[in-house]
Amino acid sequence: MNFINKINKYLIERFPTIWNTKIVWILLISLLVHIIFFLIGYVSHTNPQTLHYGYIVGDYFKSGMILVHIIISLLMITGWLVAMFKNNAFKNFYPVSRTQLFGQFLCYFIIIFCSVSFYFPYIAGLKMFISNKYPDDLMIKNVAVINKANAFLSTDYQSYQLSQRKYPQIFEELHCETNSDYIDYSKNHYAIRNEVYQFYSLYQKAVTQKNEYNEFLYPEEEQKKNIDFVSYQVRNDTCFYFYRKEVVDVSEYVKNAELSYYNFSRPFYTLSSGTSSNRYDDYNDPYYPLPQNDAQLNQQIIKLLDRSNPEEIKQILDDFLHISKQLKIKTNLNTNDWFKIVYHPDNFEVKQFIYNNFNFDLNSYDAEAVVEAATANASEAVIAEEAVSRNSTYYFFKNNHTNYFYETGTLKNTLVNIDSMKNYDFISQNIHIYLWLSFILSALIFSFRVTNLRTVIFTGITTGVLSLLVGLISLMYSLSVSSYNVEYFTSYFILALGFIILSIPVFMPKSGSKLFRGILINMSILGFVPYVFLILGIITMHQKDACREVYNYSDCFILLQWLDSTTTSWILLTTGFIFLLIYTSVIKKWRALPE
Amino acid sequence: MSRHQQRVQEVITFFENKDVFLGFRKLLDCAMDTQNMDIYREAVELTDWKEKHPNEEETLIHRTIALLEKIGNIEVKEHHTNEYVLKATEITKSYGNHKFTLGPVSLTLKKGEVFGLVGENGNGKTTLLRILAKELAHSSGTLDYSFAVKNPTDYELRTKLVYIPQRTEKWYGSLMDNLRFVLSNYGEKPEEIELRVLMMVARLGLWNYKHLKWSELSSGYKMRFELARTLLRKPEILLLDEPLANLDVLAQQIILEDLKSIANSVNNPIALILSSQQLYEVEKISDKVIFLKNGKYNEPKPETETEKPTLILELDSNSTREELTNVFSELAIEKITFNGGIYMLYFSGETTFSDVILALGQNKIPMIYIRDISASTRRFFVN
Repeated sequence: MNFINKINKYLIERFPTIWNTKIVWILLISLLVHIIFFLIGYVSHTNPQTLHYGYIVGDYFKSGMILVHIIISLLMITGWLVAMFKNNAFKNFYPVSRTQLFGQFLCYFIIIFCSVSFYFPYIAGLKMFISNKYPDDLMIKNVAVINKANAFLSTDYQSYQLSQRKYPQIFEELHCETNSDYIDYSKNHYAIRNEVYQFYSLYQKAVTQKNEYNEFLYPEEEQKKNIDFVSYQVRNDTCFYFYRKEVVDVSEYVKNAELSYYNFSRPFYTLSSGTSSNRYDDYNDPYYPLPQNDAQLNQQIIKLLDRSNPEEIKQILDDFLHISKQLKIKTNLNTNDWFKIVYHPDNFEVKQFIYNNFNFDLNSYDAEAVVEAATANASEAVIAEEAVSRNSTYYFFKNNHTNYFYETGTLKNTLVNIDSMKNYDFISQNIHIYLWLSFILSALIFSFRVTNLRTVIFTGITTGVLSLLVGLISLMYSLSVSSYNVEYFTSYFILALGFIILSIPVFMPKSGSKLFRGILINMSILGFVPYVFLILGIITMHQKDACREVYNYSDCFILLQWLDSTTTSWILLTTGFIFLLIYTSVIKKWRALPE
Repeated sequence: MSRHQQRVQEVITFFENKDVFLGFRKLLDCAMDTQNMDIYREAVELTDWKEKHPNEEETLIHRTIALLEKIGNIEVKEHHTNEYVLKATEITKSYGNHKFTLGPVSLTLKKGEVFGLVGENGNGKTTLLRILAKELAHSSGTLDYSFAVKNPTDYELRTKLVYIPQRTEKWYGSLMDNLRFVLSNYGEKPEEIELRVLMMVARLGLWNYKHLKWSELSSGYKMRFELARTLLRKPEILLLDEPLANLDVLAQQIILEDLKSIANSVNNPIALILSSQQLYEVEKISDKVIFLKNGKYNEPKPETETEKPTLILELDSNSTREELTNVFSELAIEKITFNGGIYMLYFSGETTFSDVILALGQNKIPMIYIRDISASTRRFFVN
């Protein structure tokens, strides 16, 4: 207590603003709370089972931490306000310079930011835990083991079909046709059950011209001949269409079309490479970025199988189960039984399958039956299913399941969680929410501190009435004059209104009552940033409309697109601070004038 | 001998005559005039000792005189300016469609002067004070301030122009912190702040109350703390609205004396205007009394030397009007009025106050109270 009093006395005698805002104490308290949140973040995911479900960043919100966060923030801010409101140098007409006044606002901003940003230490703690517990080199090793062993985790059959073959290199360049309409039965092809495979070489056609809808045109020759493309790729301003050229004989490498471990080429997981990439932003799938088939993995598997060394294979399976145990992934597999399922050294055919879930119900996942049912009526569906299923690989897959299971989804979630958390740029992603929250709150408190409660309340009422007025006038305009450009009308109307509100306290500091000017000052403090944003918006609106008249839309310079949201946010925030620094002179003048 | 030394000598005389209560406050005034931190420290220590040893008067007098001698040896720069600090010319203020109009009022105030502002309720005392404090805008006329810092901004002006309303706002937090906060904001040297605060607390008789909470103070002490806070700001003009309200008679006298004494500081005088209903008390300390009636201020015309002024007396007595008329029949009485409690006696210029007392005594008229109000604004109230 004595220590606190000493510090307080030191501060009050030297730095009255610092003392009054209690920033030293509130920052100390918030440092403590930040440390606590960091520790909570650090220990929150010590049990690997907490990594089994998707999107651990969201755990902060799902687990109720956000509630604790909000309560602590509210308590801290309320307590701080009560302590700070005890004194107000500016209202008492003690000498307060403009810098001191701005300094007060800055203190409020820092205090509020520190009192609401506990999310960051939590995530930092979590991130540090993940980086310590699952360092990069360990993860590279583990993922290599997992990718290799996963080849033997026959939880599906598609991964073992001939079409998945990627090695030797020739398979990467060829297209494996599985649609019977395109199969040339007179040439080398592979058939098994009701499936057929044939390998084609491809040729490509590049197109740069576009139609009026900005879509690439279809190559003329192929259109005339009615040739379907296999795939296409867009690179820069060119679209490459790929077409079947001729059947290629691959009998040198392929004996039959049985499901085989030799065909496995799909990595279970690929670690994200750089710190800048963020898995949550993945365009295709925010949570499960599907790794592409990988010739390298296929090669590794093929070489492993060619060596046919039981001990080597066993070691891989054993390592995989060891990692699984560490990550607490549910499974009833053991090395020996699994090895028996896998080891068929003649052609390493896949003969038995493993469930990928503890309570897997094949019938409920009967994808083919679902498709059939959706396209045909009930009786036809039964017949079709019977006919298709008896001779299908799916039927084979369904009837050759062992009682073993391995929760692959959980393993994938765990890997994604670990990997994404390490590369999660949690600061630049979220900081703007907290910055703006702090800015708005501190501007509001600043308004109250330099004017008074009555003025702040009347500011709220006036803003409400003005909004209503703007709404009504815009509505009348759209109904009576034109609904086509009502956006422009409203924007310019608010622009003009804002100009008047901003101008009166600056250029006519003695007009109207002190309350009236106080309201305008509060509206300026709180509304300047939205006003600047409105100006940017109006410029953008004009640019967009002008651009619509120009054919090539992508060539247009559009302000708010050119400035991305983060840059806009930084610019507006800086503008807000600079404005308040300059505006302190208007506030001081207003305060000193008589009623 | 400088003015400062004269004052010190006066205070020594007080102590020699054992007027400790008054003397100690005057001692602190002299100490404050020195602006010397060593003297401040000793004065503060002495105050502390005095409060801890209330029965050791002899030692106190001894120690005080020793300190006074030290104080007397310190040179104090005297404030010599005859320039006005506030000049109001023909100020008026209209409220609500001219239902009430204050003024026109003109006045000129110098540092060290004390003006009393009197008048019945609703006659515009508070309005005038608030106009002079720049809290309210006036309708016409000019207001001119002349502060030590030339051409201050409006805000700077108001840091030196302090108005204390009748109902002061509540203080939050520790009383001492509130006082320290003032000096810190006014840019006082950090190492001097504590001493200056303690000195002011001692001067205003708040030594034993400094650790209390605002809610634990009586209204008189609240006013004193408010004064302490205000005086620490070293205002050039101080405007007090009814500072005597809610105070008992003794406290009123003390605070008025204190105000007069502080306003008359040798090196840091303050121009002071205070409004009050306590006519006699205010008149006693004021250099000038402004009497407002229906918002108007009629500056009394100076009496010409040839014309003898009327003697006006206020008398509280159980005697009847007839008895009094008989008693004063030979004293050229002009008029006797009775307002139900007090008689007002008006005599022509020839009669003196002593003649009246003599007549009352000889006729054995029972008297509770008699007072000469010929020169007092009290006479406006009774009219």
